[in-house]
Amino acid sequence: MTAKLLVRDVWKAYRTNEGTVSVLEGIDLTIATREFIAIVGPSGCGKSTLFNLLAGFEPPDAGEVLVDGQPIGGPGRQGILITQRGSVFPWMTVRRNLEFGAQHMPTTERDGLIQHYLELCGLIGFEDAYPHQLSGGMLQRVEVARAFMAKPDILYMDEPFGALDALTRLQMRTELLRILNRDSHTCLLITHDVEEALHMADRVVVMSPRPARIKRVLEIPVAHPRAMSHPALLQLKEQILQELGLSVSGAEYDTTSMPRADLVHRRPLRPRNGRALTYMSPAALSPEAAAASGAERFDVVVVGGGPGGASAATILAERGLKVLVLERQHFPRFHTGESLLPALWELWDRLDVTAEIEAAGFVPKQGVTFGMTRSGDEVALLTSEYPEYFPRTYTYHVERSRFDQILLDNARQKGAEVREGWSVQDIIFEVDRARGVLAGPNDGELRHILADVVVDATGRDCLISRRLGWRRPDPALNKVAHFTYFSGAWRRSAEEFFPDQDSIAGAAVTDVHTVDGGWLCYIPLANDVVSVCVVLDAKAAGQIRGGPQERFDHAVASCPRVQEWLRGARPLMPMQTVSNIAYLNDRFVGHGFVLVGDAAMFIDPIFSSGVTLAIRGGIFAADCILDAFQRHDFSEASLKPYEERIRVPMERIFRIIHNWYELLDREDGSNMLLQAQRTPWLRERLIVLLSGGYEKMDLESFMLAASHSAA
Amino acid sequence: MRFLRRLIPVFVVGILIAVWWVAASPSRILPTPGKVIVGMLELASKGVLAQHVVASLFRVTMGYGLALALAIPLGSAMGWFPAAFRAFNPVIQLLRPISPIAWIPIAILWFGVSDASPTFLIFLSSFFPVVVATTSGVHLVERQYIRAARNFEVGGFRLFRQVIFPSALPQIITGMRVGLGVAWLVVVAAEMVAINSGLGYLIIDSRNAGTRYDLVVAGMVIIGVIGYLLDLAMRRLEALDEVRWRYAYDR
Repeated sequence: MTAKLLVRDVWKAYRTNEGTVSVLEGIDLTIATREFIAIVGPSGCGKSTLFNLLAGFEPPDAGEVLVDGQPIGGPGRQGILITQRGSVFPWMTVRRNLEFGAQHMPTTERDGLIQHYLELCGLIGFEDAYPHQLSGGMLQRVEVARAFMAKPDILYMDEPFGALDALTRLQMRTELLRILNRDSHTCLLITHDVEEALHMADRVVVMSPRPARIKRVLEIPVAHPRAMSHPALLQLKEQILQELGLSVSGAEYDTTSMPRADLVHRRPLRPRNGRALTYMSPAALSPEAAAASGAERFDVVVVGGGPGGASAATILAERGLKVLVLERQHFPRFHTGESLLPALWELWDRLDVTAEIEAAGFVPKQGVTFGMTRSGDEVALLTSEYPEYFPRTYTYHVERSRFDQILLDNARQKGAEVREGWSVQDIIFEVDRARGVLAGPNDGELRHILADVVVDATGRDCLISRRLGWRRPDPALNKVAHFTYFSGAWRRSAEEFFPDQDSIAGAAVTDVHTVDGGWLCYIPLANDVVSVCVVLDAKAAGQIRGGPQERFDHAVASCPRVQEWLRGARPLMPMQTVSNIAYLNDRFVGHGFVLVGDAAMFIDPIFSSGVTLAIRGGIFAADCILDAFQRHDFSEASLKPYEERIRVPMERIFRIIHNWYELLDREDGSNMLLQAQRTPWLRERLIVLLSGGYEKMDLESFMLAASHSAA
Repeated sequence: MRFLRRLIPVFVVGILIAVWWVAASPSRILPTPGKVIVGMLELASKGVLAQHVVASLFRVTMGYGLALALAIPLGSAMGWFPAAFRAFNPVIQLLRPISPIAWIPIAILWFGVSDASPTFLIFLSSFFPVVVATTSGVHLVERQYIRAARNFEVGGFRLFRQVIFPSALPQIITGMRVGLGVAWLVVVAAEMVAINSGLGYLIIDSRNAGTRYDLVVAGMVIIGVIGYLLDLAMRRLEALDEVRWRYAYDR
């Protein structure tokens, strides 16, 4: 078999306002002379981009396209592209259009050819008609006839019959096959019609959603003319539909599954934005070579010692794995005061750290109050109203510096090796599989640390996902947070909300108040400290003149109640600022690595979901990695169950917060909350949500209620 | 039904003439349609009418032809080459809003009282609509046509002649129609000032030499009729098969 067209590891990405969008990732195809290939895939997956590259209209970013072994320099007669939009010139008659396709030929030869294709394409009698006088089907025939006039080696047809009605399409298919049978051409067809592909092609290529890869290549071993009722075709159809996630009987659409290893070559993951990934050859990674070069060797390397990383390390080390945690800073590191959620009790029990946390002297928290500044309404939501959901109906307000220290110490105690003040320079990849990290003490010498699994818990640094271009920011949720600690601020006691002595001594509630341009979170901590955090829409914040302090003051001034509480209070440190743009990564796992916590997803802290999701993610990831060690299989598929498990709560909270802001913008957020005052079942769901029980809640009915209350 | 629809404009014109007739009858200065027709016949019989019409049409032909000869190549270049657009567009946008009438003194200064003055003014007035329409027509050539041409390895001047120009032609013709309308508008104004022939001259002369208002109005009617006929002729251009595809959607 001689390769007419050879596509070798082709990559393409486009720069847009939102960043770089990867369209094609490592396309490999070999097509023989006279072969007919159909390409099917979800719409917008990059099929048309692929054709643009093949026909020479655009160069690939990487990889090559060879026709007869020669690279293509640009568009030319060797490969004619036919698109659904059509490009028959409306100012020329049919005959002139056909002439246009073969201007390089001597007149006599050309006239003969025109006659030939007029006949073949059923255009006799319409030679002198203008395109606007023809039907859609006729026009498409002119398009095809003109393409043949150029005597192309390869015909690229991008949904050529997409604009035609069903009957005409069927007719065109048969005619095209008849023409192709007469004149032998190599032919590639993009279609979204699986039957069309099965009817015409020798092989069908199934593409994945964007960024497009080849999911499968299927041979159609049925002779022409084909009847769609042929059992082999029916079976192939079902198989293709399943690949596309469209099958009625098939499994749910899996957007991230990799192609079967035996169908594609492995290829290195390409970094975006020019950032380097370190690659090592399998030889250099062998135990002997590694030992000789002085590389360290662990079962698992966890990058980042925050709650997510510490939790994963705890579970893994406890089960006897050799775990290394690398943390850039020295603990205790400074962090804002945080309002935790009751859902954490179950997780702390898993980590065996409950006693330490109870002994730490954190301020108990029994609920949340939402203050609507504009209307003056206030809604208090207490976990104890629905005690059946959580082991305990309270939680804590914590200083994150202290809290993170407890979790990391716990990991250390369970057997993980923790190195503080160590930076990770890069992830080491063997082709597409993470094999360790390139790391060293801050400002010290770098060394290779090899591991079977790398856990990226680098928080918003997003070590891996940034490099692979998996990070998908949500510009609609672009926020900026300003926070500081006060002493001498008024402290609101939870007793206020408990008429019958159910309150815990010294307990508080988290106060959330709407302010001009966003909201404010008021968190009483131990030792007379109150943490106040203002989260503003980045655009609104930009309109306030002055720096962080002025923005903070402006926000507080717009909420008289909090202004009163802070009267006479003394700030304990300069204003801190964090930019908070929400993002949800495309994928959370790859071959030999997982992303945990903020490294996988970040959304602004209105429901204090970050720590809960990070710890939960760390534990889920550890569970999955333990299974992977049992099987000794660290492929993406093996680590996938982690992603499937954590994606549910992550996507839920992402959706809810997205919606929340839409409501907040419309009506001060008050509608949904005030309705919760009157509607017990909505109140119940809100409390479960605010307590961190993301899976315990019926999301659909909640969203429905939210949209109703907004209307 | 079709017959009726065609009759409606005739009917409207008829009513207007009737109203004019009734309104003008008591006036000693304003002529009735009847008097205007008599005046027209008088001019025609002396051979003056044809002379004036030909003089005006000649000037329009010269000025308008010159405008097309310059505006279409320049507009094509501006539509195709961004550098040409950047270079010429500011000048064109700066000069475009200046009424041709404002140029009359300058025209007389440069060209004196001759055929050149109104020709220049007509050139000015029709140049801009054509250049703007050509620029945008060429600029907006649909990408898929150019891609198809590249696919068939057609480039250079052939690409322009076979693809870009015909694709822009419908818009160019629309610009030409606007340009011709303005040209006809301006010729009359120009002739009122400077010349001793042409329809504009006829109007001013009839008023000055003996207040012949019947001839003034006769001149006006003839200008209107010729303008209408010119527009009809341009519309015929839009009906050509080579450009019909563009307009077919709107009508």
